Amino acid sequence: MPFIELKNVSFKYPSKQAIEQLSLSIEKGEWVAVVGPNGSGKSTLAKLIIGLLTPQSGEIFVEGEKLTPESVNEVRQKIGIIFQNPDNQFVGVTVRDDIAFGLENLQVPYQEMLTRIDTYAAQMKMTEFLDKEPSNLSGGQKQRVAIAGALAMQPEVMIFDEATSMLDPKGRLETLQAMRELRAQKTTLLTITHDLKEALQADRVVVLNEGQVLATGTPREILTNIDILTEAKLALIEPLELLNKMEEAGISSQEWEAKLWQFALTL
Amino acid sequence: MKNIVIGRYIPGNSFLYRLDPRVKLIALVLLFAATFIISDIWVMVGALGFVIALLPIGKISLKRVFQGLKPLLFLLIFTFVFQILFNTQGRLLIAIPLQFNIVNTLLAFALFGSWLFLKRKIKFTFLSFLLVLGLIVYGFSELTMFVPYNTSTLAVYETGLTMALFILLRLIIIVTLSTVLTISTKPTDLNLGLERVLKPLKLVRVNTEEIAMIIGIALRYIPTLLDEANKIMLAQASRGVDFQEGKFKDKVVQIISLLVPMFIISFQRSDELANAMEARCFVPGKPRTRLNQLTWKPIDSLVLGISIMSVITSITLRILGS
Ligand SMILES: Nc1ncnc2c1ncn2[C@@H]1O[C@H](COP(=O)(O)OP(=O)(O)OP(=O)(O)O)[C@@H](O)[C@H]1O
Ligand SMILES: [Mg+2]
Repeated sequence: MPFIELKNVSFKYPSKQAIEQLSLSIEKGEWVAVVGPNGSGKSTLAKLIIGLLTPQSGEIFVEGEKLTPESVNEVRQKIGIIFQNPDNQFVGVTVRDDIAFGLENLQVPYQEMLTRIDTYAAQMKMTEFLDKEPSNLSGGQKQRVAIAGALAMQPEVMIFDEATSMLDPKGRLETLQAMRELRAQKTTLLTITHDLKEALQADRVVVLNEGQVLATGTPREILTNIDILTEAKLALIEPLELLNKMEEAGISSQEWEAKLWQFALTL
Repeated sequence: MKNIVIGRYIPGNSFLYRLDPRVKLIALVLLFAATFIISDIWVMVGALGFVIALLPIGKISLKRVFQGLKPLLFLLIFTFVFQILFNTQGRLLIAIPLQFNIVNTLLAFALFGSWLFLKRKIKFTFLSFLLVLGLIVYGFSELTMFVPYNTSTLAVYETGLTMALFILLRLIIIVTLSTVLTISTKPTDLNLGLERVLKPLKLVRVNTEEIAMIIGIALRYIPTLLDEANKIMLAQASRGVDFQEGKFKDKVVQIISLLVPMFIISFQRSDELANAMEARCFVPGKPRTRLNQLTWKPIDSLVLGISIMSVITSITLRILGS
């Protein structure tokens, strides 16, 4: 049974059809990266999965349970989500308060709340900042607080909606590192990104275009397929074009490609 | 915008800082009540002495409190003067004849004009200006060679004076106590205390927790919004909007160029924040456990006791006095 399953889901904003007849399933423990051009419906997809938006047609299942207005609160406990803007998801006045926010909502008892705050702040390396206010934190640190806050609720899936796109390179690396650690702990991950480096690390890449799944496959399959990349207006086209041309000219070797991948992975 | 002193928490460490915010709020209300019950001027002076003695004990700098009083200086002096001038009960204490003639009237107008002109260049307050104005009117009214067109008397009566002193002292006490409260209490603690103190209102279906949540989020976002306002002002300044100088029309343009983007950004922000809160299982009205717990300590009982005692004492003194 897939952990998250969408069946023929359609969603329309008053002015725009954002998701159209989309079907997608995500297995437990899998890392799925969603890529696609601006306005292709990536954020809408994430909001549908955690029930912030309700599809006009189609069904969404989380661990076999259908997402309905009645089940939405229970389903949300299984899913943590990190949004793009670090400032607009910081609810507490201090780091400690912010991590506690979700726990308070889940009515976690006081003592347990304290241990969970300590555990997840330590995991996100934010222990020394527990009493700091958000205005004293960098963007990357705020995102780590958001991750700690979500993890403290002990979800089974983490969704990242362009969580690194507003960060400086250092913050981006820190957040990416956090994703890798989650991965190592077998948390199911759904990362929405423009950053191909993020997509490269996933098990599977889903390309979204105009509210539909254009293609899905391993990062290697997708990111070396120039037709898909062109159609979805994705970056990294030039180096890959170069690679293809070199192949045509017989310059390329497996070794050379491997080197390129190595390079891409250490970017 | 960063120099607002009233309502500003200043980190420190004393018994006032450790006091339960609920006790502080209740004590504040009780002491306010006491100042309204006191009917003897010497008791009022004593109360002020008590409040001032609180400052060094609570390690709160007098300077900070004075900074809190400063914006209200005008109001304080205004009510004082107003009481003295218009309360004509009791024994007449002083009577100063005032004569308005051409010379001092013209001088007064000239002075007012130059004040309007000079206030940009020289920083002197409206109050010192009023003082000089009064002295001129008084000084020149002695010159009898000019025919006065109006003669009036500046009279001070006993009741007027005591009433004026009463109000002045009461205002000073109230403002000082409030400043002490805000200096020594984190806004979040104050909010938490307020939420708990107002809990009985739930019986009449006022959702105090939600109100406290709203205040809490407002407190959280004030620094962020100030930051944003600064950024927008810089951006607009780089487009040629001058935020320093300008006539009324320019001021309107400045304010609009700041407010419109602020509004748009804030709406978008609140939308995203609402999403983030909901995604973290926040359901308005649903019971929540709380990380911030309040613990009642012996000192809390003591302070509460003292506050209740001061109300009782002031009632007793009032009954005895009348
Ligand atoms: N609240 C809204 N009201 C109306 N239209 C919306 C709303 N939110 C998004 N849209 C539109 O729906 C489409 C899909 O938006 P969505 O935010 O899901 O795209 P996205 O893939 O996340 O884009 P980006 O990469 O820019 O984040 C876009 O055309 C967008 O303009
Ligand atoms: Mg998006």
